[in-house]
Amino acid sequence: MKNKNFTDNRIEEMLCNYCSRTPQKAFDFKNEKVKINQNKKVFRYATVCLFIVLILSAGIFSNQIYGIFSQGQNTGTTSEDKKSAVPSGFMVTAFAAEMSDDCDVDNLENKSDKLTDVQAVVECFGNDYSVSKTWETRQFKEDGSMYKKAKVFGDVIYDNDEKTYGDKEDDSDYTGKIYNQDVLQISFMPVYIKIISNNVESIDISSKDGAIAWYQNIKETNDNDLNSSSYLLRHDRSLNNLNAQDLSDRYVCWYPDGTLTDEVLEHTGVDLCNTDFFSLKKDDFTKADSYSNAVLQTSEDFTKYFGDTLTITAHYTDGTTETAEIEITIDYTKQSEDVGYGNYVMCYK
Amino acid sequence: MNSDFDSYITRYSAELTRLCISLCGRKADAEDLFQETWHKAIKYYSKYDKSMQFDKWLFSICVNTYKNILKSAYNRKSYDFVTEEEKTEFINSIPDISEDNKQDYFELHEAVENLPKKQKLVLVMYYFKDYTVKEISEILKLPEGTVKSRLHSAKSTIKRRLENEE
Repeated sequence: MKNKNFTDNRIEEMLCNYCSRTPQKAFDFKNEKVKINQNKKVFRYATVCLFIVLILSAGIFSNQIYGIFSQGQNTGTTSEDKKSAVPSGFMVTAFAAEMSDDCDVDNLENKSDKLTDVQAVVECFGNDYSVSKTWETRQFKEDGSMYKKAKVFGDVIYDNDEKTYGDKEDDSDYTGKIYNQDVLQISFMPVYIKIISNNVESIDISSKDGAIAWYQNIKETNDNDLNSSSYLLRHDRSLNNLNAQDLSDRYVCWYPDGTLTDEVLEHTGVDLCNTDFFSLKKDDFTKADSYSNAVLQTSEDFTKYFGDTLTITAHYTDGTTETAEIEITIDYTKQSEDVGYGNYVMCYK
Repeated sequence: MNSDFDSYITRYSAELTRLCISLCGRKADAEDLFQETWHKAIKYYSKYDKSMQFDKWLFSICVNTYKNILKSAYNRKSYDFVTEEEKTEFINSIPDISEDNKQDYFELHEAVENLPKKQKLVLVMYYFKDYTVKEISEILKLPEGTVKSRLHSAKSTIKRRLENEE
């Protein structure tokens, strides 16, 4: 195999050229419904057909085996053993993590030691805090763009005690106004909730102030594809009638403050269920890019914003129900005017 | 659609084309993403805060649409050239390319396509336009540290792959 040497400059140049690719003619916007290309169409039809076949097969198969299990035979699987070990009918465990980077949801069962009983601080994978906020002062030009932004990623430079990367853009010709603006950056992790149940048919879960997401775990064979180890089925303030059988490969996720989630989606097009970070401005300068005042005010009460009460109701196969209320708060390990770092605490109410 | 928007389409279509091509690889997919992005931009234009730069808003829509597209298993596959025509089209689309380094670009393409999607996203955003790490963090709604680390990892992986170390 031939080994070549590529200098950093050469790679930079190649990447610049590679990302400057353009077809002979730029695309034209057609103000009509987007056509799905043929391959995708075939793939989607094939997926739907396969799904129908699987459903039909599963129906036939379950009818055939129903008689055997209904006569009281025990399969003796590990999964059944685990369920039998749950005395209260259902048990909730949780962890906080950015799903694709720090958490291998595919192997969640193998990482049961990482799952925290909902009675203590919810640890997260990795060394990060579950929640953090920082204020930074940045300078903006009148058109809303950043003043003296760093141009090229590379060497670390220091400016007003702030560490940045790259060379500063030459803004010496700029004579307009400069706006100092405090930028609040909040990053948080969602909480992944695993419900282990025994004789439970379905689960209802609702959040008082947050959002609940329901994920399908997808078994990935491609290690490179960190981005999509799970698939968001739906998210809402409350999700009802989640089939307990599905809880082996589906996950419930809690995200803080559904109101804020909707606000951010409305104003920025960013779905917080797909990201774990957003930034807000302390002062709403009209000339700089900013989010709405409503979002801003909501962010002020940081502790309340990340607090919530979850209600989980289990519907047992014998028709009875049991409900658990779980309170979510933040335990701040570090808190000052400029920064706040903390982890979630989840307790049964 | 108002005249404001017509001027945006005229002004940003070329850049959006480049971003879509860099993200999707395949021209047909890139054009779908391009159309979808403009459709969403028109749909949500009433909510666009004009104090924000339009290109950043537009590209964040594009990136979010691309991330949604990736949720389909079909779209998570990396894109390899199948026909000679595709190869020729790829080579012709790269500026300043010479006969000697064509193969390097094919290898670069393979390396980029096989990057973890999150790293690829950051890499493309960084190189397709002169955006800073800070600006990318705003567009992708990621902490700057995450952008830097993904960028660094992506470049290291590409260098290793180009030098056939892995």
